[in-house]
Amino acid sequence: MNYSALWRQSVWQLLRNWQRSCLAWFSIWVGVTSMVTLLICSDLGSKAAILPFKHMEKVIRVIFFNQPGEHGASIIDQNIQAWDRQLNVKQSTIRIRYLYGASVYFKHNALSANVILASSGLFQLFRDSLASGRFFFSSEQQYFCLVGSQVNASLVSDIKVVNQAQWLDVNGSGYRKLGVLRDIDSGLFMGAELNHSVIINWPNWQTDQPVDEWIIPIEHQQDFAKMLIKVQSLLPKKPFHLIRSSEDLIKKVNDQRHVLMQLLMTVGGLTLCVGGLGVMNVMWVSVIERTSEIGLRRAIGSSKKNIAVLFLFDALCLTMTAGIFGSISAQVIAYGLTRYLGWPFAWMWLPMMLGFVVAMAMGIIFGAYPAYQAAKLDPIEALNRHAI
Amino acid sequence: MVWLKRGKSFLSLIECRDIHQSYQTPAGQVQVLRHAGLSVEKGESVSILGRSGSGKSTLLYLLGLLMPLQQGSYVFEGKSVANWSERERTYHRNHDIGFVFQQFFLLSKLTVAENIALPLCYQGDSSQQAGDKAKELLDSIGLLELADRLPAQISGGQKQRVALARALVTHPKIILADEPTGSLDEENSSKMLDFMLERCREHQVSLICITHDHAVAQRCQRMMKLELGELSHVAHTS
Repeated sequence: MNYSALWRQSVWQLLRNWQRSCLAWFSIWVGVTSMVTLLICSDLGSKAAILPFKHMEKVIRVIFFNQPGEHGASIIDQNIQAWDRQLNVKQSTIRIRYLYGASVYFKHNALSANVILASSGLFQLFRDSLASGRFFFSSEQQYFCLVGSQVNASLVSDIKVVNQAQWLDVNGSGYRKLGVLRDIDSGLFMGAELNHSVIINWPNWQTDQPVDEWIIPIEHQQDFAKMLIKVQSLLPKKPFHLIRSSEDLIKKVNDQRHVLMQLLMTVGGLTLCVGGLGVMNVMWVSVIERTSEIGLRRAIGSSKKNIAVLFLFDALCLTMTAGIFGSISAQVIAYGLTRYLGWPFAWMWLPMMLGFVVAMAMGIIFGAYPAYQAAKLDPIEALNRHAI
Repeated sequence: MVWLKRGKSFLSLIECRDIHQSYQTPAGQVQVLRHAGLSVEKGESVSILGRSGSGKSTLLYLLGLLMPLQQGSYVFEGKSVANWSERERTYHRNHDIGFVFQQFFLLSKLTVAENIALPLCYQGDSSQQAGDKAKELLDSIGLLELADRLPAQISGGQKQRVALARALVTHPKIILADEPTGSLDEENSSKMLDFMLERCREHQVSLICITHDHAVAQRCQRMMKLELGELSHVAHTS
């Protein structure tokens, strides 16, 4: 059998009967486009959601809802230092405090920035994220800070003398800029957009400060579950607190993605089925229209198999072209969406291939029955039916 | 089957005997062919004359292996076709038999050369090989200038010549023509007949021409008549 000639004929057939085939073609195109777009976006969305936590590796994160005042309760740095000793962790834990509403000035100009008070252990999470300068150390008692990329951009535009030390005024105290963080692609890190943040050194001697978050890095050889129980046993009932781990978060994101994908794939699948029925209808009409052609082909030596393959190729041509265009459209749509949502974009071949394979399967499934019926036609009846 | 005729040895290409064929209709069974017998020698041209509904087309489809034999015997080149499978019948239709129909049956989306090459593609030739052979044949019959035209771009007479070329391209042993001049005017009809008989003689191909036109039937070497399903010999015309 000459497959290249069959493809040529099928493409010709599709173009010739475009008006009839276009609705089925567009149904398959919409189905494949939506399915592949969903696959790409769900994958990129999950990656974007997990991105801020990729530096955290294996950590336990405790969020305190402090209630300062006479009847309230607060966790202060002193408590954390005591718990650190009880946990006997080799790496130092990280204490974080968000200074909501803090004023930040640079050379008497107000800056729009979040202020995070963080202990020096933070470098463990951001060791790969430093664009320039260095981290502060726990032993350093001076007022040091790190700035996010966006905050740094506003400082750079103001600087007149290169290499001159830059000082920021935070709540009336001066902090020397020690380093700059890389631009973090997307997402919030622990409630603050890092690119717009100033992270200031939490010296060891400030032990009476309330702690908003306590992050405990887990070493590879340590048992995560055991450490979690230990941490839970240390924590008092008040103030109210939440315990989260990076693994929990990643698992939750993946679970959500899985459920969402199943739902959306069902919608995409239904669209494809509607398209498939359209393909079947088009193929039926084609078989009826080409009945005498079938009769002639049988008369001049075409086997039943040849006839079935001829019609199957027609169905495949219809669905596969829709599949190719659908997969490409999906990438374009996904690119637009990621740009709009600020997610990182990556060209993904696997969903595209999947879209193409699904479209091909649609052609085979929904083209098979009309093709079988065409092959089964009696050649004499077919010859006597209509003119070609 | 070998026997002596007028002092010469002949091998019959087609030998049919006592053929009965009927159709089932809602009104009951209709007997189309009764005790029909026919023998065609290699290179011989035979016309079968008959009125509409006399069973001419049924006989042609039967001889063309498009229809299974219900009763009687049909021997093709010394082999009984009664036990041939669908695959064997398809093979012989492709290799040994050429069809020419009244309605031409050229595929409108294919060019003239592609239409002629079609049976070769079913023999396993590549598009290139089949196209070359088709063009070679078109050249030999003086129709090469039509090669790249679509059927809609040529006249009725040319269409029937192309249909004949399609039947000849596989070098068949017999051409079965069903009212080959039925859609043509008198002048074109005569030209077409000349063309067909000449090509059959040239390629040493037998011809069975089914027609209701006495003038057309007379042009063949032997004329037979089909009446009420019974086939009778009428005359040797040449």
